[in-house]
Amino acid sequence: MIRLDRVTKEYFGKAAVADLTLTVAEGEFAILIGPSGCGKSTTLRMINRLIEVTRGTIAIDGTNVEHYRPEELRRRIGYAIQNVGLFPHMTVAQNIAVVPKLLRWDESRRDRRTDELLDLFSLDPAEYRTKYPHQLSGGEAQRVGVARALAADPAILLMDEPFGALDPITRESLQIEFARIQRELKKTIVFVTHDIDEAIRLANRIVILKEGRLVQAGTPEAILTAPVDRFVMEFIGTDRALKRLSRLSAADFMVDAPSIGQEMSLSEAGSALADHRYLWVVDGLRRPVGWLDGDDLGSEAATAAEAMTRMDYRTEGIAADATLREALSRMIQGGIRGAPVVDEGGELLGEIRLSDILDA
Amino acid sequence: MILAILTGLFLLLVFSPAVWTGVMRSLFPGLERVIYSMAPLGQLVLEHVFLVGISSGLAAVLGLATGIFVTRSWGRDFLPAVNALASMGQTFPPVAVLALAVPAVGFGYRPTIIALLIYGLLPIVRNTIAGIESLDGAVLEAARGMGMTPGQVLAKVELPLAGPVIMAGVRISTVINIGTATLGATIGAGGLGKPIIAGLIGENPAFILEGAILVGLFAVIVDTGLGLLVRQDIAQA
Repeated sequence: MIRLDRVTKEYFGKAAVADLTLTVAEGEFAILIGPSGCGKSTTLRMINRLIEVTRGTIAIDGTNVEHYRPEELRRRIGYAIQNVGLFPHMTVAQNIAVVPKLLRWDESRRDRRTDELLDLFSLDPAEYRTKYPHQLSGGEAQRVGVARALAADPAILLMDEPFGALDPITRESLQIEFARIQRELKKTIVFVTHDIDEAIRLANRIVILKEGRLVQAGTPEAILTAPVDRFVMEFIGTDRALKRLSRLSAADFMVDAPSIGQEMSLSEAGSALADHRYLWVVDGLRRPVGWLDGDDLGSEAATAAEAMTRMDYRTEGIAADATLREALSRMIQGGIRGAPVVDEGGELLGEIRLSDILDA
Repeated sequence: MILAILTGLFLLLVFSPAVWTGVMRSLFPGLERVIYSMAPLGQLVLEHVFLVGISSGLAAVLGLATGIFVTRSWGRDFLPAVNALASMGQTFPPVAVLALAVPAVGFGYRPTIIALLIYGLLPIVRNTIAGIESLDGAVLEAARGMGMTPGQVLAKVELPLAGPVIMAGVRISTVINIGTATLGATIGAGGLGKPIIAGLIGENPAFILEGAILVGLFAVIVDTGLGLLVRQDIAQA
């Protein structure tokens, strides 16, 4: 647990961070966000004492950080930065093993840990161990940078815009990957960004700063639902309702989907339709191939498959791990009020209704 | 390979006067004496190595220390002054330094070593500063943020990364000193400058050529040798 108590940092009498009180609970992913100059990086760097506080205290698990030698403190806290800062004269493995080496781990333990981390970040140890930083792509270098921060298995991780310098596609894939890793490792993370979408995607708690002061702190849902003032409202953007949907998963809002087999005769389908406004028509593997509503019953066709409105589950089905935002986008695109949720094989799991999304 | 050939040639010229005499006779048939005989060449080479070795060795140690000092947070106040001095000093003629050193410490090898030390210091200081200052800020931030002490940042990150640039400074400094050390002969420091000075006074171009060829070869050998060190440094990085 990290506790900042009335922390102030002044430069030449001007406060960069003013009277900031904040607690980051164990295992929490806290994101500090705000416009440039809001004091977010300064706050982060005061936690590992790269910057010393002017007034106030910072405590980790109840112990004031000033009780430790700065180097000792930093070896216990992972640190990853936007420009990565890999050591160009060391291999990937040597870079990752820097802190373990400072902590005098023996060589076999360092090697094991390095390989473990490379695996965790989907970098093949046999291939990457001996590479030099200049041989890595931006995304790979940042993976190594974050792996290096995790090397000595610190309980706390400080990250200063770690994905900020990457192209949007790499950034998103790294965010998703890192979210997965965090679910596994449950580190206490303080993360700085100016990208609100990144904050919403990753954080348990968002702390919005402006001119060195805390404006609002809370879960992403809480901030998106109830921004405290105009500044927060403008900062999170006019599409905050959509942003909130990106925090919610389709699986959580899925309801049972009424379905019939495609071989069912139209008359049987008609009686099944009595209780529903429409039915999903599925093939032998329970994959949705179309839907049937009251209008289709009037046709001459013999089976449900012939009368139904056809659809392709591969493009129109919604994956169970998709967000409600994606689901909504699909529905708007297709002009439909409900969409089937399918698993990886295309099997029908349930459906999402537009009305449920609007109520979410 | 090149180094071995050059060294072989150098040693041959130093230790077999017969080769010299032959070559010089054919070049300067009118001269009575074509080889400097006041002192054996081997001794002059040793004197020269001594002058350059002491002055460049001290220059490397002092230059590196100064460069490191002014790039620390606590020594940074001196950086602009040292930088200005280093670039200004380079324009100062070595002969003037010699002339100023003689009244201070008398004739002999001492004023020469002092002059060479001062003159050789500058490229090393400048390159040490340039090498350390040009390092990527993110690398240093990461080093500090991961818990390296200032000493560890210097030894494990700054010096290895600035190494090639610093070595280039040492190389330039040493080569300049090998050439400049010939001036020491004018104030009694000995070395390979002796035949050159004797040749200038006695209007004997063979003496001048003898000294100049040996100094030139020596400089090229040392430069190549130090160059190999630098390249190995880069290969490791």
